Amino acid sequence: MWQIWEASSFAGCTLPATPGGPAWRMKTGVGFNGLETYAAGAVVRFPVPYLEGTILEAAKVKWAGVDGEGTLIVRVIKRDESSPASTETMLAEEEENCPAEYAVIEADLSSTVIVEDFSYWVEVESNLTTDSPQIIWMVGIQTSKRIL
Amino acid sequence: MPSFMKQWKDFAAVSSMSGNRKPITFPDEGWAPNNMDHPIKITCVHNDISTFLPLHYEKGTIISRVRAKFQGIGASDGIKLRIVKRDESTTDTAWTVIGSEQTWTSTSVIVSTYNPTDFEMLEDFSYAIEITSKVGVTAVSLFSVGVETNARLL
Repeated sequence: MWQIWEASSFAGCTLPATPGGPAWRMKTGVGFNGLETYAAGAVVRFPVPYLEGTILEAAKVKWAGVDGEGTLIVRVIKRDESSPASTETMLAEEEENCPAEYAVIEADLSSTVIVEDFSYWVEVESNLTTDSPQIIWMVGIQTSKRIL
Repeated sequence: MPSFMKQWKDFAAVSSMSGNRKPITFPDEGWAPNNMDHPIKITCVHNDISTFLPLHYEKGTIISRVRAKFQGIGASDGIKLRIVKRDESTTDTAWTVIGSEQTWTSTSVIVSTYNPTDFEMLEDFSYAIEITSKVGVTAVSLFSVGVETNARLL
């Protein structure tokens, strides 16, 4: 089963790491609800809703670049939040070239089981090579049966 | 449902605070994420700046504990945590604090846990965990918050 969310309404904190730094911003208007960036290295993260025992199969992002240049990187990450340990574990990473129009990039999660004490998120990073923007419209996760 | 069914649900701060965090008093600053540095967290260099993580509504769910993973950068830097709710079926605009405000400081990464009296999530109310920066020296970073839920009554 896919669960999908409109990107601008579901994104986590989108402020740049430093004022004026690369960031994803709201893009609004007819047919254009989403997030947009003109900078390489802009990162936005989306939460994976916690349901213990849920099996994660894949994550996907609907996106576009305007001029067919650059790539987009999608990662899925987890971290143990029950202890002071602060190291993240990358569960999946997928990078694809900019499509001529919109496309869906998908990262395989190989049936990862969500477990207690860990947080999970989807991370999207722009890798622009020109001044033309990249846009994200949607993020989604595919889950299968719960084992608990 | 017996107490052994209690479970923690943790949310990374950087992915679970929807939208921009742009305090009125410090435009473009406030709680902001690092970029690709690790560990991934949000950091605030100003004192007394609040940010909110939603508690997703499940009618009848009992919340028994709340925790936060954070690190103060300076000697007396840390966070204040409150669990807040508001009746959204009326014109009420003020938060009601559940339990009491907790103040924690630490210069190492630490997970601090608040154990209020168990409370049940009710219809018509919105719920959030409010994290406020306590910066006396340098800055504070927030990694995550978590809630421990118990049986659902409904």
